[in-house]
Amino acid sequence: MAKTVLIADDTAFMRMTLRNVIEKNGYQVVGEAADGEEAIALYRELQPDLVTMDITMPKMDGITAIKEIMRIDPQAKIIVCSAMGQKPMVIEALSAGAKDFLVKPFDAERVVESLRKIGA
Amino acid sequence: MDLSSFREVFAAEARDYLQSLNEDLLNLEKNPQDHSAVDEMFRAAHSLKGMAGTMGYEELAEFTHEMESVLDLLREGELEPTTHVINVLFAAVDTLELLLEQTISEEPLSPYGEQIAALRALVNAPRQAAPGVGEERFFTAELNEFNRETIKQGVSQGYHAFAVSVVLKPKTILKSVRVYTVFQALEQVAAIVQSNPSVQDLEDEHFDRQFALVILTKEPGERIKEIIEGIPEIESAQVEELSPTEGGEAAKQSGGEISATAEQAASSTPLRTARQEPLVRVETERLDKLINLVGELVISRTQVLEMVRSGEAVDRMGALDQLDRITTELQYAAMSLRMVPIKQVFDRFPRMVRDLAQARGKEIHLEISGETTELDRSIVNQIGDPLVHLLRNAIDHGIEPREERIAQGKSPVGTIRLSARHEGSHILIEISDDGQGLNLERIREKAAALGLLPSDAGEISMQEAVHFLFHPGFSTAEVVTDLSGRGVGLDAVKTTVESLSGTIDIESEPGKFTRTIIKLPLTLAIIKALLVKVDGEIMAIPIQAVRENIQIEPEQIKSIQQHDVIMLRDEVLPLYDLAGCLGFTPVDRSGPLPVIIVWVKGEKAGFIVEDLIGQQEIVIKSLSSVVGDVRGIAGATILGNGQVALIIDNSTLIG
Repeated sequence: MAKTVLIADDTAFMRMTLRNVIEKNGYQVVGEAADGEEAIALYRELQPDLVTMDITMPKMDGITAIKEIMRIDPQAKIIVCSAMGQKPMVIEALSAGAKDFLVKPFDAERVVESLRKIGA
Repeated sequence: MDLSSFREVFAAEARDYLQSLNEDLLNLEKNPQDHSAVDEMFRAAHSLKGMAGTMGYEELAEFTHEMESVLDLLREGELEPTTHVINVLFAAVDTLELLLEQTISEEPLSPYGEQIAALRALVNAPRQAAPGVGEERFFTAELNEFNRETIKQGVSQGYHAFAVSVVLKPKTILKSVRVYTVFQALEQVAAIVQSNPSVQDLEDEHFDRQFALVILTKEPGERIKEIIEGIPEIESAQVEELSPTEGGEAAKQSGGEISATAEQAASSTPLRTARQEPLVRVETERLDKLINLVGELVISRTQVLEMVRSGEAVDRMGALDQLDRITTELQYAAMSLRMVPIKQVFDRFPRMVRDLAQARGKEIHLEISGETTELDRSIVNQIGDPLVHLLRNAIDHGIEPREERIAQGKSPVGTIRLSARHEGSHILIEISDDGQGLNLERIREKAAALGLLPSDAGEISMQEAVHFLFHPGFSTAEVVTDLSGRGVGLDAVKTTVESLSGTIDIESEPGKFTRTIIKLPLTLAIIKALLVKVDGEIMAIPIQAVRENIQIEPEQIKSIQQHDVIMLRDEVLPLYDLAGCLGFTPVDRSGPLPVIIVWVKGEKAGFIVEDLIGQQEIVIKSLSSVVGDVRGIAGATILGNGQVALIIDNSTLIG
């Protein structure tokens, strides 16, 4: 059965790009969230195998959302997505429990490697 | 030509060259314009190469050749002695030392390709400070003395020590964060002892695609490789178990405390002093003196024989006095053959302090004095480890970080003084630092937390603080940063010193200094002892263990919780029967009882004996291995009348 993925990103374009890469490689995108709060709600509802989480999002940022999801499910497998130059935040996300990080612009190969290794 | 008989001579001389290479490197680092240091090193490397070649030690010759090439560039001024260059050379000297020892003991050689590659990188790219990072080259974190110690301890506690080399994929973005994920993953199962490049350089992305770690873990190597390769953007990971000589092997537990310490010391790589050398170099002057005395002894023997045979009342006392004088001198002359300068131990400290200070980001000046002070070979062999611990304490906990020192109006450079000197029949070794001193408040808190003090206890005195510091398991380090903080504590240092019949004390003034004073006997072979009678047997107790002798009446013995105690001035001391402790028939407590007050593990305790005989110099003979370790007995000696007396080991008498 295909692994399920939840995408959290505030821009529709990035969600689309990610969904494209993810689905092409045999994963199933089960939900898309546009902010941290929505990501948490959808995580509870969908229990996805993997989450990609943008850092900068309205209402609730990705780091806060990661912390909350890790609290709900310590086994959660979250990949944090960042723009260039967000190193301190990536570190914070990783120490909050994110399993890996992706840097925009996304390299399709990297995204797949991350999903494969973290999802393993 | 069979050169095997020259092997020990070769080894001794090669070790001297290695030591001078170490010293010259330190000098060069302090003073980069020091051409004489470079010249010295070049000569040393060149001589080593020639010697190794002559002996047919191809690998050694090859390795020294590579070193020589780098030194040649330094000498010609084509290469600057940058920190990187110095570090590569230090690592090369360490490797050379390892290869030398392995060659001498005919063990298989450790791989040394990476050191050769590092040296060649310097030759091929002069004036370039960055290490050339080859794709295939397995490059490891070079271990400093301090971390070797850590690994040694880790391994002895059942951990595996691995050298891990990780290569990132070419397009890796945010390399430092990727390294962070590797650290994060490894820290779940391992302790990271060292990284190359340093953590700071990794964080600042001052590396290409490859970095190396040394870790301690209970997991097998394959699992570590699996974990690392399970992380995205990792191209490859190599995991190699560090060989015992590189990492230090667990002490082969056999003959109790002393041999364990010696064993540990021996395995901590370049520790020349702990090696059991089959050959000893003795000054000819000393040998001449010994031979002279033997000559006099022969003359004296003839006199005595003549005297006895003829029965004439010649100058009997004169003849015997002379015999007495000659044997006493002979004793000292023979003893002096066992004496070696403490320099042998001190010599490795400048390098260790440098490595450690660099690792801790502190600037520390080490002053050494009295290194020519001589003491017994066996003591020199065992005092190394305790001194390492004390120096490490001074660097870690004594000397404050630079900013803190400046804020307190101190010189930004910390000073550690290490000195040795004679005092009577003892030698004093002092280690002092001008750091923050003992923090009485923190020691009080820790003591309370460990239940050594009631939690509502008020301020403690310096003396009490020192007492707590020596308590097993007591350490005031706030954070256990790596395994070092969990290692052997001051209590182990104390145990070693006491096993050498020495004493240790700490003096400190908060904010100003900490000074540790170790007092050791000059020799272990002959000691002053108090002879006592126990259940009809004569026993000897090392005199420095004895605090005083008193006589008590049976009524003075009180009982607290079914245990005998006596009041001595204001102190309540536990009271034992020495015969009882050793399994003999206890003394009949009807009349006045002689009691000796003895130090046992830093505490005073009273022991009832049958009778006091007196003080005497005794020669220690160890019990044969057939008997093994006997609790409470350190060995035996032969008394003047030919009778054998057992020597009491006060540290294991009770407990």
